[in-house]
Amino acid sequence: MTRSPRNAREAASPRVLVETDRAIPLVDVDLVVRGGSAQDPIGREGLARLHARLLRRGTLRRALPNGTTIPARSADTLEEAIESLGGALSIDVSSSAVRLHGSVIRRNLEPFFALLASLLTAPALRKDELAYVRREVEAELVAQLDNDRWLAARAFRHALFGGHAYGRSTTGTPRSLAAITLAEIRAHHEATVRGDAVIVAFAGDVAEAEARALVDAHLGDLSSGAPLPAILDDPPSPRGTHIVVVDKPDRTQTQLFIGTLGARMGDRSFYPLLVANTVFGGTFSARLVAEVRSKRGWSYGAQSRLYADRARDAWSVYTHPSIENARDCVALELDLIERFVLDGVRARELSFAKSYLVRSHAFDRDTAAKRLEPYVESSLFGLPLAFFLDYVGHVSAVTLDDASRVVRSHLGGPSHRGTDRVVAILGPAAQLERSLASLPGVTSIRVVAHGDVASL
Amino acid sequence: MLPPMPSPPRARHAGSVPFGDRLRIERYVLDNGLELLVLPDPSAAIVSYHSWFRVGSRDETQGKTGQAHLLEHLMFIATERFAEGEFDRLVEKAGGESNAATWVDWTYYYENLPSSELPLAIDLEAERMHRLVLAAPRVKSEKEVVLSERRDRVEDDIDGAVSEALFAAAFGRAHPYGWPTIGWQRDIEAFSARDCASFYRRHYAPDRASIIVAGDVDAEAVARRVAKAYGAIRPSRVTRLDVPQPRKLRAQERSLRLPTPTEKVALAWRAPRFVDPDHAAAVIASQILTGGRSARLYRELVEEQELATDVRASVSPFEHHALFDLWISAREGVAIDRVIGRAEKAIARLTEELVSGKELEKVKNRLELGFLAALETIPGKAEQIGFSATVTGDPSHAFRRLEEYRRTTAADVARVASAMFTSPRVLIRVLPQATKKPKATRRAA
Repeated sequence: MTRSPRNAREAASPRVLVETDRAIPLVDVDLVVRGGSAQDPIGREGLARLHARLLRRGTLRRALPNGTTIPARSADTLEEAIESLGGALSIDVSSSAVRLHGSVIRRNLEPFFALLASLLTAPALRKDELAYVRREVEAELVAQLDNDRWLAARAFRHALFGGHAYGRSTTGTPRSLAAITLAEIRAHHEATVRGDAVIVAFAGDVAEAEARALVDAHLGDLSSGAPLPAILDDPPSPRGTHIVVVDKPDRTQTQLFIGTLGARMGDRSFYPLLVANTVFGGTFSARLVAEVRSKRGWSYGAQSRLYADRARDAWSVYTHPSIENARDCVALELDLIERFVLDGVRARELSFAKSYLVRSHAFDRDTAAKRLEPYVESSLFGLPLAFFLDYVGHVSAVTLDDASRVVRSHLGGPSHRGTDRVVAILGPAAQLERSLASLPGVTSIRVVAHGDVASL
Repeated sequence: MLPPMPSPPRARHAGSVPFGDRLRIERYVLDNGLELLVLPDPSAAIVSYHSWFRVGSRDETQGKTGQAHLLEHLMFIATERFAEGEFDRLVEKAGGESNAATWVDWTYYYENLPSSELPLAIDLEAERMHRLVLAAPRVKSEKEVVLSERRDRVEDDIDGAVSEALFAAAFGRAHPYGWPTIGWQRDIEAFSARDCASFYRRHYAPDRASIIVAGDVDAEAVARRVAKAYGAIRPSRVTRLDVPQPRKLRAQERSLRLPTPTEKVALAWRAPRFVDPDHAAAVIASQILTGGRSARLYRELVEEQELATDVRASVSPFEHHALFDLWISAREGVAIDRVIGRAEKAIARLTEELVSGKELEKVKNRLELGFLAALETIPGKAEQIGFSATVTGDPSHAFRRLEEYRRTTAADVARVASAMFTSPRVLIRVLPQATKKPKATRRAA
């Protein structure tokens, strides 16, 4: 049995959400802190992520409101303790949130939650650990040079969003990472880890009363403060067709992203654009897959995706054609997008996409953690719960006119013709640059060495 | 007098086994040998329909590698009743998703659907088990898709390229466990529609398959529908070939020059096969070394010494022969031989010292967490049942395995580690190849 999660505390305390499911003796606990990498100051890209990494590098001794004391722990003893309890912790930093995701076997929930909470309430934030985490992230940036898809995706976002928060690196660049000081990390902690900016979500084998008691005991004394701004300005839309080639020799295939701006989460255009994206490249039956994969066999992976956040994030198309087919594949995809913008969505496609989205929604709610997600997102984005909970109603209400209109207004760009977009392609520039420059309607083409992508 | 009516196909109930404390698997067998395993689970209004075939890359021959995987792709294209593209359209219109996977011992297909759409899954899967259409033009274009997949997973992927070299070195390129499941490129390029049809007829039949249905369903009703849809399909009666004994593993070391900024190493030793009682101890040994941030090698190489960015190990879940493989990526500027030396000391320690009770308990708790996480969803349960039934013959083997982990002692770990790690091993170093740094340019087109 499940029931609607309830807000267990008033403002200035963490919002507590609980979805009980006794099927498996497992509990998922998410500590979600509003304010992600979009808040990183210019020149300090990577600050939110570095801070998040530093949280698990040791905690201070702390007295709880109930009088008990949590001992200080080094990074090693923290990790040892988490894993000894049959727990796992991952930390994800997005544009709008930092999420500490924990899972633990049921019998160890209480000590596990105590550990997790101590990361927020009593992190050591030590200088030597900042130096360690900085070296760790720098080493990861080097390791990412093996990850072609990541390199192309990073170049795509940089080209699409430019200096907007979405175009700046969540990970940070070698230069910005070097500039971040411990004082800035501590100030960031003070500003973001506040009772009214934290959401605590429990899903699984835990009762609401128990969850509430855990939060009261371990997070009940978080300070309050001014909430972070919920609004983020939209990035400017690209004008014309801009290509960035990420030069990586010795490749047999490319990594190709094409796209433009999508829709703001909560905007009226969001659901029509979601349906339109499903038509274009959201299923195996979609236009993109039929043309690129099924008919031509050019790319094993072929999909389009709508990213949603507080401001207009990206709508992008991803494929990985061979070097030989790259120019033709780019030309085909640009043409598919233009035709999509000019001709709109067909009635049969609309009906199919809506049927798929509505009926597959059961899989968005098949676990306790997934059932809790609309409540987390509503709270995180400051949007009405109905925007998320009435997914089926919103999708069902999309008309042919709605879908075609948002394709023109959003994917069509300022020209409303689908010719305003960014293309990022990774491969040998010596073979790609000239052939791509010869495509009709290209406004600019730029080559970036793959080793320089981490500095973008 | 009228001739007697042929009796309708029937699914014989062949027992019931517990799947944890709350659920039970109902087992049925059809006259044509098809096994049906149903797990009624009303926790969500969905159904996960899996078809596991006892055919994988080990059933191929030299020169025809990648056949099982290519056929997996072709199974989604067209059948006698369903035109090209219709399979995906029907599943997606019903709100479902379908996909498949192939490895050495098996190939499986699944549909995850709202539970009301179960009849669609039965209809589609029964149809493609015996009425697949393999037209030459589509075989040709799907070969291109597979070659694209190979470029993505092997040619342009460091780990994929090294993995291929590691298994070929450990088992030999002529052994079925030594060639890649995706196939060698020239073999993929050479397949004809006739090759695919021949492989399909030989290996796709009810007596080579298990159907797993998990979700909000009634077991008896499922059995009646499955019997009706599959009952008339003829069995292949082809006996699966034994996997040959691989040659004795020779100690080997080689270096590959690849376009990567840092040095890496992959090591492999022969390990107990999945059904061997010692497989659990081998998995525990892998977890002691690399399972999580507090594991021995992670802590030493990544955290304390800052020599590596990544360490991981696994024991292959294969039916007949397995490998213990260990992968380490060095940090920029670190010579991989420094890392190898430390890794070998940690491995030697496993064979020489008993792991403490506390460390063993930590690893067991981590494994229990992983076991539970795999059972969180209905598709996850269906996959566990399908894998277990296909590889071990016991559909609830995942629970047996958890008990085996719990029973494993420090002495077991030391014994199995000694047997593995004192045997010859394969070592592949990856060294960066020099590349010219191009000059960045910008111009208007």
